[in-house]
Amino acid sequence: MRDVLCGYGLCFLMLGCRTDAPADKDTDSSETLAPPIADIFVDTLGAPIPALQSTLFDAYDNGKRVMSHSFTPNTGLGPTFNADSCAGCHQMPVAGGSAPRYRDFWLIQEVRWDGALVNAGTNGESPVRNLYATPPTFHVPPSPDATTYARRNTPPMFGVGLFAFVDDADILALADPEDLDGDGISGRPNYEKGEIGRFGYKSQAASLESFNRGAIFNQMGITSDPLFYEFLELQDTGSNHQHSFWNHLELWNPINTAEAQVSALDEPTVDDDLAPDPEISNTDQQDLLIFSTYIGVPRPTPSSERTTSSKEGETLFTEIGCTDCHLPTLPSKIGHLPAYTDLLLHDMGEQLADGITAGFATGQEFRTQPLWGVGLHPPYLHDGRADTLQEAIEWHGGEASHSVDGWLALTTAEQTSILEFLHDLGAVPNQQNFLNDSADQTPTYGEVGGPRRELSSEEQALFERGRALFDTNLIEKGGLSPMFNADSCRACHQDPVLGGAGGLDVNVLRMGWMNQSETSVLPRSTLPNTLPTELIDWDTSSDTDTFLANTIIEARQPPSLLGLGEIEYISDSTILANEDPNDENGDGISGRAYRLEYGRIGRFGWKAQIPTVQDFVADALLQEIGVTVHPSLSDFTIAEDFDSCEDPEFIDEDVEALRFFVYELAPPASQTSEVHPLFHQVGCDSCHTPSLDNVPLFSDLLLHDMGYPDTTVVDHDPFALASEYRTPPLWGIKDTAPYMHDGSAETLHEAILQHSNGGAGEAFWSIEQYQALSTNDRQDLLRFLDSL
Amino acid sequence: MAIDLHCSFPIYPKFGYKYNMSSLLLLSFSFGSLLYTTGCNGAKTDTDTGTETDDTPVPPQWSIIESADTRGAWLRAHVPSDTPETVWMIGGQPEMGAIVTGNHTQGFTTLELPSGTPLLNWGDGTSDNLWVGGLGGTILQWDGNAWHDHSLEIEEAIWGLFVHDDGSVVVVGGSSRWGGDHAVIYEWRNELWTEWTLPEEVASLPNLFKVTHDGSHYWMVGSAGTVLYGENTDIVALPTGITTDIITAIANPQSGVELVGGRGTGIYLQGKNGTLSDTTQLIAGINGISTTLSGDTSLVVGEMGYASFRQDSSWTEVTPVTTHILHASATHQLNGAQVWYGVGGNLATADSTFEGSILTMEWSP
Repeated sequence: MRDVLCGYGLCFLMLGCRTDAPADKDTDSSETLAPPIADIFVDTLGAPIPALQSTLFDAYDNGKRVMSHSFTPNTGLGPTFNADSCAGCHQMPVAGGSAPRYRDFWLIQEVRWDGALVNAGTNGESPVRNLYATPPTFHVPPSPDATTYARRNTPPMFGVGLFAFVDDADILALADPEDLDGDGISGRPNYEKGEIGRFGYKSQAASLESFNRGAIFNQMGITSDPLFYEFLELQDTGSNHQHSFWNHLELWNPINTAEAQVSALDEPTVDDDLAPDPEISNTDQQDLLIFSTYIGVPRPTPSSERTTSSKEGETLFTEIGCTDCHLPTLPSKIGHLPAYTDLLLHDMGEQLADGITAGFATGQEFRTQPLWGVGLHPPYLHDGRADTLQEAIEWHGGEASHSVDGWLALTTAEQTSILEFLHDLGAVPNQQNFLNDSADQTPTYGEVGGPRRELSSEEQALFERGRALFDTNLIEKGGLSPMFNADSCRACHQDPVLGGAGGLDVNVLRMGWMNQSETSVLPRSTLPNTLPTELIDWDTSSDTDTFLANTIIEARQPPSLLGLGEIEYISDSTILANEDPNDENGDGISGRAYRLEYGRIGRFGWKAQIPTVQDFVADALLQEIGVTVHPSLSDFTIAEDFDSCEDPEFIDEDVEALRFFVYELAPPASQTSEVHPLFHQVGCDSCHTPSLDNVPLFSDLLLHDMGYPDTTVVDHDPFALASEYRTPPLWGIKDTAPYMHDGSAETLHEAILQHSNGGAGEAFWSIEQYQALSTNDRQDLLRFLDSL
Repeated sequence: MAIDLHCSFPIYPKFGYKYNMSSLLLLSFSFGSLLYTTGCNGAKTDTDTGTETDDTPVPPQWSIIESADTRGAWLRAHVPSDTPETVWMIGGQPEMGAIVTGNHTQGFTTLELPSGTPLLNWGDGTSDNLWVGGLGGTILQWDGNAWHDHSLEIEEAIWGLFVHDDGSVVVVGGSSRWGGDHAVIYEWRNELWTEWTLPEEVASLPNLFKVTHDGSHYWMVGSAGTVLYGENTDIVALPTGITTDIITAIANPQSGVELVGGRGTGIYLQGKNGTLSDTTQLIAGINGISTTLSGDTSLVVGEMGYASFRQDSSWTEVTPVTTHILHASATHQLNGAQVWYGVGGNLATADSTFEGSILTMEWSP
């Protein structure tokens, strides 16, 4: 720790500790608009600023790892937070970025007995996506006392940490709270502990430590300790380090107290779950802080490469008054930062108001958002309501009204030129397709996530093309359903490798509408998909209560795709051989095959409703993403959907590449060659047949009645009972948590116990046998499952 | 223990700005009663020359008595009514309480505590009837010669207490990192403790931080903007509209009750006859407050060494000299001068580096 901190201090000194007086805002711009002392621009998103000293690389990399570290309820997550890492939200296009709307979360306030609005949904109780949470809650009902649901879209972190290097006085110099200059702009600072706030949509945090610790506690439910004493150690290491320490102190404001009696935001956070506090180590938090501080700024388009239109747009941007708040550069200890923000609070008017107060910020006030790299991270505005920069501009209000008027008075060409200019503020293309691993290489034969056999060069190229398509941000491609709120196949199938299962935070939601008699559930969500983005806005819906009372929302955990090709290899006759729909052998197990038209047998999907990998790909593209393929390729698509993109939206070659990739994904390698006797003794193998046609998938691919009540399940499938599910394969199961069709089981032990509903269902006898096992036998059985 | 009055400490430059009191505006938001200060912490600057143009005298300046007191953080500074020339500093560490008494011209001495006394949070009373409260229900009485243990068998911390002239005492407390989970009120009368019931509206409150008495009614403050008010056991929760913690309340017969608190940003408000004033918002969370006998001038102290004098609705910031959190302040007349104290320190997680600060200054409006 000490070495890391010393390195940080030296780095800081290298960047240049300016200690002179704050810049006068009226000083000639030629003097103040000096370039940054240190190079802060990067060509690869997620990379540190080039000026970062090499001694901090390891800490930065670890901080990046911490960003993607998956927490679980057992390690302190939640209780109802339904993402599992910092990068669960800050994911797009790389860890540290922003997020599509499906990662939006809510700031919730309730009316107290005396009329005060108090925060609710803190300490991991704020769901990322409305209405769905981690088990056992699943659905988060709106509080009857809640009056404010303020939606938040994840802001990007690129370059934001560099605001720590801006002096308080330089921000204050820009403030004009009484609009004394009469320009209609009256920015004012927010404060935290006497420091000028600069982080967060309301500039509510003055230090990155405060901001980070607030987010990981309030949103994720992860407790942490303040870092003060980690820094204090530096005082003992010599005068130079002590000097560094004080500089850090000035930047990060890391003074803390653990005393509940006194005011300090950064006292240790604690909660009452079973995970020991703090739930993130000081080292990891420290490295996360370093990552947050030094994540680089997307490099703007070089002047020489900018179009004339873009340069005209820059001029117009100033002329219509945008730069009154979106100040092109801010002075800082490392030179002027071209962030296009003044870090001050501005009144954005009633239409953008969110009702949330934070420090000095009112419900209508927001910090001027930085614009560097703005083109990389739609949607826009604090609640992500704007799809485009044009919408974001036109939906400004309050102090920005005059600028909006100016914008609306421009010609289309002039508006386009401004948009070009904005996109040029950070034009780094997404060079990293993969969410959590910047060094991702296509796995080879024998590796997890690789092909199941040696491929020819042509086949390898097709496999890699399919894999790239699987990971491609399809939002840019267009044609996606307006209800689809992820961005790729990868978004749902990424654990532990591309093509794997969904993590804790990627469940698909199925919606149903309960009829008047409440005796059945009718499908509500309409084709082409069931993954909702905006199925309800608590803060705007006028019939929220009615909606919630009648809507059934059910989670579907994306299954692993590893080994699907092997499953397709299994013959229909082998599957049918295990069928016993009327339980004629009297063993209580009555599996039946899913029979499609033309005598086909289904084998893929939670209901075994899909017969082939190609159909599986076509079905997922249509049902979840909303993309059509040519009808000749599959019955599980439609010829035309409802958007304006020409159908089919995926060309045949792309469909084939995707199919080939999924088909050739190798099944997980088993670490055991024998079936544990307890597996048979408990009766697991009655449905989880160890192998079919020598494919060791541990499934009979048949439907079995799990005993779940019909009325609580959205019945999308007319050929399978709501309580029937296909026996899921168990190979590689230890890497695919959470378990069950709805992701309701965190552990295999929980999953086994959930194989029945109060004594109903075909697996009830097995559960009884499992519960009768000794602790050691249970552990042996669970270890066997882990080894598959 | 004699304390070096001239120990050096680096002047922390962050707040080092003069400002014109006339620029300290109180504005009322249209949506509610919240008031805030603006212009504080920022010099009024001539935009042509960059030079400061106000002619306000140099802001009040602390002198350092202690800057890294290893006995721990100081959470209370108290001037006993029977020895108004002295000031008592109360605090310590989680496993060890500490008390010093004296004044800055005569020096200070450490008052020995019973072995095992944990961190002490507050004290009140006279030099021969001083009551202190701390973690784990700890309550001690100093009779001028010896300590008497009146501790409650509870896990809750005692955050505040008020000693009446008739010898009765009311204590308040609640949860802390070291135990407890709910707010408590106890009264010591006739050598017995009696627990009071919280009003229904705040029945699940985690903390009450302080209690004071204005001569006829109690004022108790605590978590999430809680203010309790009442006579004897008949206390009610006053609607405040405040959601942040209110940490300290002091009563002055002349001016009523002053209440301070906040986390990150501070709040100040006044109370009289069960009615609260509008809230003034300050730029740092406030923990402590002291006032002159007339009630005309108050000193609030808080996070990052923040301190500010209030005179009516005007505020004058004190140039910080420490980044320690200041927990409490006190004032007394000494040799014809109004002397102020600010005490504080760190009580964060590492158990080997607790340290305190004791600051003083002479200042009159």
